[in-house]
Amino acid sequence: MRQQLSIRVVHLQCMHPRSLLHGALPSSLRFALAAGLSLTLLHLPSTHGFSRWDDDLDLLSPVALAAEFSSLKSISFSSIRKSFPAIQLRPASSRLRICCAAKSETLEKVLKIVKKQLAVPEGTAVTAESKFSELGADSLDTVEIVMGLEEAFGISVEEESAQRIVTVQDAADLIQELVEAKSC
Amino acid sequence: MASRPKLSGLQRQVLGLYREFLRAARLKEPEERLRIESIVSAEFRQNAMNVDRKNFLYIEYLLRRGKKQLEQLKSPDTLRLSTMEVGKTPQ
Repeated sequence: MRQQLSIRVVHLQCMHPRSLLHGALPSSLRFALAAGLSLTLLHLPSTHGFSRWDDDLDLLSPVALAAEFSSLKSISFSSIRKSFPAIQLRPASSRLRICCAAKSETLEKVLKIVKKQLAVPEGTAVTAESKFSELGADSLDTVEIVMGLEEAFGISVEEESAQRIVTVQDAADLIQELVEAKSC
Repeated sequence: MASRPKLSGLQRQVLGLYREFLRAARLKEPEERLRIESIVSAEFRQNAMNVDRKNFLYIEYLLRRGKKQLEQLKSPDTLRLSTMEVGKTPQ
């Protein structure tokens, strides 16, 4: 339960940058209520001393906040919803990827090569998120795919980076990076 | 990127050798290249299936043998690769 709570707090803090949250906690908590956070949790800060939040917010890490919450034994978290759609963030990686995301044509090409190389049966969906291991590739297949990609794009992939490839998207990103490095 | 299971040094060496073989195959005629690739791939896969992963001595022996064969294959004088099955009695 404690872990669950700490996740929520992290979400809260991520959603509201420090500048926004600082001194404006009640409104963010109202937001939390709208998003389905339990009433018990909403009441918690006021019983626990609201001013501390305002003053010490900069010093409190999400984990510390979570620890503070869980130290209050009288609180029940039974009504916390499992999903928390309004506040839930996208995974950080998918946001980070935007800056170096592979172009769709690269991805298309990669998907085609992967399908050909692995002889994926017709009708099996292969997407950017597909993991090579899920598509039935062993480590030898992965080597073959990387070699195939190297040839198709006229690049050379380092062995270390080749071993970090897990999903098709990883491969496409890596290739995009190398192709751009080659062209400039 | 999520990491995939860490490979041992020996596993990396084997995969590296496989890469090198496929690279070497690129230098040959297209027709021979396909043949080389299928032979090499069959050999690696067969050993991957049949050799006990703890049999380090044997795997190291295969690696050494593979490296020698790779050297021969890389030479521009080598044009093709062929295999023959010895002593296999028909069932």
